[in-house]
Amino acid sequence: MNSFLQLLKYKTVLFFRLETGINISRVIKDFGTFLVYASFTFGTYVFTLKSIEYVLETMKIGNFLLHEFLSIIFFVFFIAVNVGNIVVSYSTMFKSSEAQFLFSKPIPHRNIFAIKLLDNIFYSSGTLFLIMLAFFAGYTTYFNQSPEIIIFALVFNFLPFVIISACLGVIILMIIIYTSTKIGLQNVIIISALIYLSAIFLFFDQTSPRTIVQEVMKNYPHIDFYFLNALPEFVRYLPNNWLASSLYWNSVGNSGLSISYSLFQFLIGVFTFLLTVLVGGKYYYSLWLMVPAIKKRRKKKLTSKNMTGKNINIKSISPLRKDIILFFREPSQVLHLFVFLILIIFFSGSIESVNSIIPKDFELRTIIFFSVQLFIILFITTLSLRFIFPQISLEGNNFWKIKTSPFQFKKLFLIKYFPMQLFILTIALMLSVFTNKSYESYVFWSSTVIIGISSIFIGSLNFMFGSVFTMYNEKSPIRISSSKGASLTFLISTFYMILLLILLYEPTLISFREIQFENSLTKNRFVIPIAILLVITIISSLLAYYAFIKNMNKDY
Amino acid sequence: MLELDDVSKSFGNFLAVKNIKLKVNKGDLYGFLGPNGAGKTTTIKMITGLYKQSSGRIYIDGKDISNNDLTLKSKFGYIPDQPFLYDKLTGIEYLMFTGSLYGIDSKTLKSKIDELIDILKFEDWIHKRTEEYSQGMKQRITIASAFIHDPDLIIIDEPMVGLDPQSAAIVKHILVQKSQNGKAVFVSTHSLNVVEEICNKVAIIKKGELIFDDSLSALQQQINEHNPTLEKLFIELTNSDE
Repeated sequence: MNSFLQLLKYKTVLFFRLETGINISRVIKDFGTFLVYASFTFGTYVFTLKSIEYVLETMKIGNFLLHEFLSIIFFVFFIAVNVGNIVVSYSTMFKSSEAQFLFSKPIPHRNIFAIKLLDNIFYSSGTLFLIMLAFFAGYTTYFNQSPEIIIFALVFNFLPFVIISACLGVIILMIIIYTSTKIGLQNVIIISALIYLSAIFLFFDQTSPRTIVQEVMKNYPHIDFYFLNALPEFVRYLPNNWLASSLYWNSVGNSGLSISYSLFQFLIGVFTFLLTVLVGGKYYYSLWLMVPAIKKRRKKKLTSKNMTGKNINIKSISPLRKDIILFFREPSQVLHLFVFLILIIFFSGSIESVNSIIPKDFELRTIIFFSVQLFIILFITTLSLRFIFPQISLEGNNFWKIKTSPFQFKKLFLIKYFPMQLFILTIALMLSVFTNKSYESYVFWSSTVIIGISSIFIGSLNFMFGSVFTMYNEKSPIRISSSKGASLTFLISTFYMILLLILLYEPTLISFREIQFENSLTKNRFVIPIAILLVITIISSLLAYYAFIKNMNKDY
Repeated sequence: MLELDDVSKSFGNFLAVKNIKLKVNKGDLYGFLGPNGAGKTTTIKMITGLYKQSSGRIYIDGKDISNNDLTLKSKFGYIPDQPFLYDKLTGIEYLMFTGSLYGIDSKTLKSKIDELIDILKFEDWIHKRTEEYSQGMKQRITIASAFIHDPDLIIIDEPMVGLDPQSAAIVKHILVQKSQNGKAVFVSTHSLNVVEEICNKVAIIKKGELIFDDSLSALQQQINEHNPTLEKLFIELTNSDE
């Protein structure tokens, strides 16, 4: 059998193989995981269904605008998958010991590349596909379509859409590695970030939702037509548009055009994949050989004297110092942090323009307010997953060193949890101040307190689950952040977002209504929701501490 | 079987291996000695194609490895210092998988695995997942996987790491047997007694440079009053500035 097929066969076996041994705690853990996944899927289904119902029947924005908004969401999704893949591929394709193992065997380099590429795409995509499955289920239910449509849309449109994004990410990473050996990694990262920011800025500049809405609304009430002229020409060549257009034509009953868009996406997806395997496979090995040189170069630069901390009690902070040094010596950590910081700047900048168009209509205002707040919390969730969740697992097989030393576990808890939590809390508060400064002072302060409490809840939740679902054999923080435990944490965070929505929707709606019609504001509407969130956060923080101590006392 | 011709490797400004020349013939059991950080693993990684040499040529069975000829990879079996195993595969699955990468048909593979089970004595745990293995068990499975395609050249980086005395004795016995059967064995180690026990040729590397390359007996002849044991001699050689 061909070595590619052999690798594929064993990879599939590994993918589906369950954990060894059955015991009560594992059964409870797995059952809990199943419950969370199932509820999450159902929640996404209902959320999609209700959201479409709301925007089409209450807000009456029309079919075309609905799909254009979906197209913008798909674009953000495309960029997220793309950037995510650049970071993940570095770890899985260029730093994994498996790649080293495979390169010492008589396997064509292209086969190794293809299998690592597939591994990369599918490893962390389980939750993603689950979300999309639920989304498509909700979507097709609303438009009263058959279940085959879900399968068709997932396989022939969404999957190629993800593949195109991921393949482009891998190719960009290979260019980054090559140019890093010429002009240095830091310079390449800065240039790449600038290119990405410019591309995103251009996209939103050209496809301003406001302009599209104005263009479409000129034709009211005939707003269900496909307004090709409302879209800039370049948008027609983007995968997010093919996905959204396919859904649009399907929703209006033109399955011929819908299938055409899907098949087009599918063919482009296959073409991109084959091209990536062809080109990437050719240069993979030589680029893989270049990585140690980049690493050595970075190592030299980062050995700085200012990390020695001479005047501090060395014993009490040595694990923290070690964590900081290791963090800044790990290119994927630095790169990911850099990407997040760029995203924060970009997000803060874009929110300014959203604030400038805050409408007076209280319903619309509430929706915009919640979209922004939930986006901040989603962002905090991603940050926490990436930087807090792996904290314990990253100690890896060297944890014995700390566990066998006379170091208080309480102190270790503070060192492992507190700095990262502080970092995330600071970012959360910064974002909240930026995004809410245009609102009335009571709304501003309430939302800032809520965002602050939420960031502590999500941080502690990640620390708790990171202590329960440890992966000591995994050295890559990215893979730890994409593990089953991490997915579970993400899903629970989304439940928290739903809880926020439930607790805060009515007080916010009433507050904005008061502002619009009465020009006054009752200033105690958020007290009870904040109190509830505070209690949940205190419980979660205590559980995080308990989980950590339990982990410390577990057989190692 | 293996030849390194003026091979160097640098990482930026740091020269890790400097102009190494050595030859390992069929039947040789070649000990590659050196203190920590001397360049042993870097050299091995160049031979196995995991690092590309900055200059010089490496030949396996007379063919230059820089041509990326995959058939050359079938000529050697490599045992790294840190074995890589798929946690969720059992030992036997791992061996079947590795064998299949060398294009061995499943019937031959099964009989080869049976043979290795007999030699390396791991029948009791071969059907367990490798995540349950101790360090020594992992090392033994990795050794078996390097022998599965019956290579002409065996390259081992620190062979005795994690092995108990029985396992170490088995491995040493196998290596001697392999060299007696005409295979070339290249063993990188800093364990002097392993070299003394099994090797017939020795090279010593220090700060990336070869400072000794001859037979074991030639090295032993340098043992004198000042350096009465191989250990003392090795320390003397690798500590001196010249």
